[in-house]
Amino acid sequence: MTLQTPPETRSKQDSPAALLKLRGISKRYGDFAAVEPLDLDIFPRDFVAVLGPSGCGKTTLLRIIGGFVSPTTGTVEIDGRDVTKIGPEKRPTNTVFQGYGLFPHMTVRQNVGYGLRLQKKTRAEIDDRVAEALRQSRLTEFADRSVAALSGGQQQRVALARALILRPKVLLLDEPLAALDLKLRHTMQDELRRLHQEFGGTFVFVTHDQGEALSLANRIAVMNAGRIEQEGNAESIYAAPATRFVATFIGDANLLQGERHGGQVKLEAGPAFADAGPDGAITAVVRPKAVKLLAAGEGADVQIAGMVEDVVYLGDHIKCSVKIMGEQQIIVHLDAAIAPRPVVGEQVNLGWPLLQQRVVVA
Amino acid sequence: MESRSNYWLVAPSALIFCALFIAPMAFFAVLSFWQVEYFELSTEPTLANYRDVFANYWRVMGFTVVVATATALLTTALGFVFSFLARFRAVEWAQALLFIVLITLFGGYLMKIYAWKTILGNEGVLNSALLALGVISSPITSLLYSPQAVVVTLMHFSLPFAVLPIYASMRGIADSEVEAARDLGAGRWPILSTVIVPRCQSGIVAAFSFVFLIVGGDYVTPLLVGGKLTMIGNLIAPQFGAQFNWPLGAAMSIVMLAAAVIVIYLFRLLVALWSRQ
Amino acid sequence: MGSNKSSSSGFALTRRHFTQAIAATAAAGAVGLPSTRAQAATSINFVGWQGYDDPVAFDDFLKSKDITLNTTYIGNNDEIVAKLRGGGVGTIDIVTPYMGYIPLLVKLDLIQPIDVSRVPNLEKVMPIFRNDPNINVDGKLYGIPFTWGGGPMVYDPAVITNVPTSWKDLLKPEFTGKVGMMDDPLGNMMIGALVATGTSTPTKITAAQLEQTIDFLIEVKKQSRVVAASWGDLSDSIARGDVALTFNGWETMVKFCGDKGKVVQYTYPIERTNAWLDNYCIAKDAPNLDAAYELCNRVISVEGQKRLAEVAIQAIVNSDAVAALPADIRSLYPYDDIANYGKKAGFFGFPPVEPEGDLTTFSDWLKAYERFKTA
Repeated sequence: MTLQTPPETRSKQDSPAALLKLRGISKRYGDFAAVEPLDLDIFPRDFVAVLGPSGCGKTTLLRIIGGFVSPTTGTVEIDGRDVTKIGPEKRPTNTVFQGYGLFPHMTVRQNVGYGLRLQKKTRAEIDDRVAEALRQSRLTEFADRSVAALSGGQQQRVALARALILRPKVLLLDEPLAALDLKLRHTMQDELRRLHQEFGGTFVFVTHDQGEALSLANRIAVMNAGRIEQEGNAESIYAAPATRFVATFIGDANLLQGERHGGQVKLEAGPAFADAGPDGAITAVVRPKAVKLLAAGEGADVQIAGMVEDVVYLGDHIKCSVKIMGEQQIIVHLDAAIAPRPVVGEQVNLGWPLLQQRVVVA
Repeated sequence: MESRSNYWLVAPSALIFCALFIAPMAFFAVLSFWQVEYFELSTEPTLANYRDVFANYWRVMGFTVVVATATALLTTALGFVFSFLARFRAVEWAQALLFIVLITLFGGYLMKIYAWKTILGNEGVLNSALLALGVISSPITSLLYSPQAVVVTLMHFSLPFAVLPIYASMRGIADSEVEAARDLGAGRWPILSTVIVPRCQSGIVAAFSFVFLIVGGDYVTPLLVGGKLTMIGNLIAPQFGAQFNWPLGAAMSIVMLAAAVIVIYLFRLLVALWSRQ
Repeated sequence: MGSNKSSSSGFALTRRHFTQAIAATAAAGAVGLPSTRAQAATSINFVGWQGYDDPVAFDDFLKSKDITLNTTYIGNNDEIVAKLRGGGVGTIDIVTPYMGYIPLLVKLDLIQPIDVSRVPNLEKVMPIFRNDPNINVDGKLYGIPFTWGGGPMVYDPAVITNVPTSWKDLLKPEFTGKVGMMDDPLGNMMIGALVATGTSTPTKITAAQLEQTIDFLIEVKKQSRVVAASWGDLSDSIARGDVALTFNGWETMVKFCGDKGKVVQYTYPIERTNAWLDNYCIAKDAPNLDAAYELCNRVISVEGQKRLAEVAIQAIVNSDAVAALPADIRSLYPYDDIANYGKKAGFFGFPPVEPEGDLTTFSDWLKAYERFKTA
């Protein structure tokens, strides 16, 4: 876990290897900006999650990529071709819709073969490829059922098979797991990972669930209020959130307000340390796992004294809430085997290394 | 226990169905095998009425079926276009469009007929406008009192009956289905023919049936805007009035009903064939 | 059976004039039945055309006689036969048949002869109506004639300068597409028979003559733009300029068209035309005989007749009432030369109802008429 180069600088480079390039993409509906101008590169075989709360513009972004929404500004380029003006029926993308959009008047087989029939492939080729797709999606036994008779998970698999059979350059998935119950969601996560590997394609999915994003995607773009606030792999986003929003949206985080002046940061809670950057309000972000309970005389880059307020045993770790100066609270995750366990009311010293702390503006 | 209580729940509607549909039909069916002579009903069973229908009325019946089929096809197509606009193209206007359709239902049947008389007559709105514009030098006399006038008037009258079932079934199509079809490579026409039409089958067949039955049984429109036109309704109605020959009227009605069932069944088959994947 | 003139006129009356006229005079409270009544009134059962009850019901005449009117409106003359045969004898008092039905009603023993001494106003009824052979069966009067009309050729003088003198003139090329017919089976066939067969008794024709009649009607239909559903519609067609002259017609169309801003005239072609006469008849075993006679006398009174002429624009039979009419109303009908009306139109009545030698029956007529309808 080390500090990373700010990811924004990377996405602005014109990487020749990028499969999907968004340049200056924005979407306005009247006065409302659903997507602020943004750039994004997606590389072959990427499994990208566009993560954000509802209303952040992530679905609009996906629909711009899919061709269902034309951007107010900017271009969409896929495999070196500008497809901004091309409709979804001609784009080398396919989408798995949130409601799946299966055709209820067709059987599973007919749904999966729909795209190939439109391409006027020969009967034999359609039959072969459909059979193969059904096998891969473990749908063979349901082939001639009406899609209305399938469970949610099965419908999801039909939607995937129907899209993947066309071998899209980019597969787009809109909240693919939102409609499923928890248990099925885990099964489908595995399924999606497996399909991504077997298919060897490029997947982009939108989700509001950070767990889903972390477990499926090799790259995550965190969106908020129409902007991509950070983009990178799961580790870098978790360890080095670029903004306060990213820090809070992904994983638990302790946030400490402070002020930077001439390369010196002074936190409201007391500690001070050196940190290069512009003057002004900052927030120091530290994950609960990075915070240590200091033994008497033990030192750390950043130290704060406080009083234990709550101790909860959670199996693999102990969650400890410590009240510090200014009515603030710091959450500490301690090794479950720690001895002696802190007790409520105990005065403790907390500390963490600068390397595991991230300072973001405001 | 439960199934018994369920039976009780459908009993009132079953009763209404029997009283309003089955009983009159049965009465007509029986009546059609009787005869009337000099105001006396003879209950001696006879096929004479049916022989009469096939010998003397097949031509008018055929003409009626043709007019009804044409009107039903045109109205269903128009209703489809209207519903399509309301459901997919002018969604924000859908409520207003449907309101207009419903409002025209309140306009009343005769009012529409007289409106078309006013529009299509020799000195009517259309001819006057064309004359004023210099498009024609003397009125087109074939506008009113023609089969076309009958078809147009009946289309106007029956359009709401076509729009409502089709729009209702289009409402059942999720946006994501249409988007998925596009996404999988379907252009406008394939979307229409492989998704929207098959998904509206029941609505389309209902619309066609409504219009066909309205037209097939109508006898006022041909009288008022058809000029010299005679449809089967014009011959059936007097059997129950002036001619006082209910049995013959019943036989004509039943044959016409059979014809309607056949045409509607064929149309259904056509739509189903179209919709087959 | 027959949708004859009166059936159609009934429609026209109802739709075009009666309701309006009655609404306009509703202030008089004429049609409202009294609800506060000290003693039980005589409730008379009336089965007839809508509007035919108005001449007796429009003012407080009924109230003064302590009679209430229980009306059942009919849609065609057969309903009179059907209602009387279907249990109406003994409960129905008054029916209003077309004169052609009276011999049949007598034959079926459904109506009773009129005691003329109880209908003093009959004296004022013009002889041409009073003595009509249809309503006098075996020397006895069976109906009180109270309104009548004929089927002249109506034309638009602005278009038709060369006014036809014969019904056959309608077949001239110059009138192609300008003729309007009326869907009136009985009237059409009687006029058709007059023209096509030269008979003077168009109700008594053979099968061959009936074919000739229908052939002629089909010829006229070829010249026509419309076979109208009602007199109102036929008037409409003239007023809108869709047709300019008619086969079969009604004197009252002058008024109908006038109301629509079109001046029309009528003429009686040389072959003559048919005429009709509607009557109050007293049903057999009428339960309220005294009251029934009151109504019979009232409908041909000066007041009742004036009402009929002025509000419903119907032709009337009482000569005193005619004399009292305003000129514009009086001019609608040929009252001035009424004695010669027989030269223009005949009160032909009705074809046989049951087989009678080689004569065609009314059923045959209606069957044959369908050939005209579908041609």
